[in-house]
Amino acid sequence: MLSETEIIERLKVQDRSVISYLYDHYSTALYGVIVHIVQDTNLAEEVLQETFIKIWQNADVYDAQKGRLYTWMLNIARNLAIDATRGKNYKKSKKNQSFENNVNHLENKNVHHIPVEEIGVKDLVNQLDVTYKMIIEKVYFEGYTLADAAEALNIPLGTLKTRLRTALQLLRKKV
Amino acid sequence: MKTVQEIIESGILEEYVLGVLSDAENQEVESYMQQYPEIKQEVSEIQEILYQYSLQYQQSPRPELKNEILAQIEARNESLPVQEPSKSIPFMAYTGILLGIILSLTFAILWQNEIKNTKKLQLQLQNAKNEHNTCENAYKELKKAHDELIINDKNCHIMAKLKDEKANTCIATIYWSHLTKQTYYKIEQMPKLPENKVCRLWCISNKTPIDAGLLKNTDQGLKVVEPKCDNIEAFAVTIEDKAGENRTAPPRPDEIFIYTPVHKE
Repeated sequence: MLSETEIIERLKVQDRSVISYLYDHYSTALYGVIVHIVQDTNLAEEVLQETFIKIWQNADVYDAQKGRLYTWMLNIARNLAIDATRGKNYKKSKKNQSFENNVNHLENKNVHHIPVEEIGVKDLVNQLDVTYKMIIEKVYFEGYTLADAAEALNIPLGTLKTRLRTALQLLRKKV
Repeated sequence: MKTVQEIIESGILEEYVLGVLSDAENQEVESYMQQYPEIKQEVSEIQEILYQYSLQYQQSPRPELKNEILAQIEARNESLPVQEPSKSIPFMAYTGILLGIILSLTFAILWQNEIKNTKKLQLQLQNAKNEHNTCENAYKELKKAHDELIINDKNCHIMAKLKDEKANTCIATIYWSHLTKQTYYKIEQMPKLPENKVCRLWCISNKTPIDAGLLKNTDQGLKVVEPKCDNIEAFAVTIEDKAGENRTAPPRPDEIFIYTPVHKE
């Protein structure tokens, strides 16, 4: 098992073997998030490819002071996926999905996915009130600004901020 | 000045991790992270929880995708040099690189100087050529004036006109100047000669032919007939083999092209 420091060192000197290592260890998490955001496996594959290329090319930009390597990679995947949903073609095909559909989609999502082995993730998500989950989904996975999310969820911005913080506090307590 | 607790409770750290802050706010949080280890820890925990949250969605991509992505990265790197991560550059390599840089710089400086010197020399050469041309033109002018002075002098007379009777042309005119006590010849129209033939002028003095050198198309203006001979009776022109330019033997009868006695004054 390589340490984060070793991975970063090897990325920075463009050691190609490290990208294979990263793929083996993180592609499932990244791909899952991407599919969840773009709702299209073909597009998700493209985004996953872009994600690894960006990780490969931008290792110099990574700053360990700002966070762990996997959260950096997750942010790259998440941002690229959100960008992909803002593309012209994507909007055409998905624009009719209603908010309610998204809620149902959210509730039923786990059924199709591989079993989660990490400590109680499935449980903690299931235990979280749907109101809180919606906020995290809107902001973290759909790229809404706080103001837009508040408007979409029809709640005041202040309430949204409080709930967001509460949601994350609850998750932390459960982990 | 906010306390650490106030910062944590403000919710800005969650917003930072969620990526919804402005650049200025992001910088603010990052400066807190550098200042306060508790804030750095808090941010790290929020990042961790969101990562854990994300894992609920994890799923495997189709197995072939890995090689496709690696091939893409490989293709993008084909033009880039492959670096070995764990090997440090040995001391000798550093020395070599350094030496290479120094040599390159030295050559570059020398090369620059060389270019400067070459340009300077080229300029000097051009100036010299210009001067030479000016002098040459001045010389031609002077020569022309000098020739005219001699020819037009009342004490100068034509000794002979060396005519090619067949072609009805005059090859050269021979002058005698009392003023300078010199015999001159002036090329008028040289005959067309085969590549391997040359024309030679002879002065006949006391029935003896004296070699006065080759007549050339390039001879311009008046040329002094040398060697200086007294009592010239006639002039002859021979057409002879080029190979025998430095001849010492007298002309053979078959070589004589023109024979002209001197005009008596």
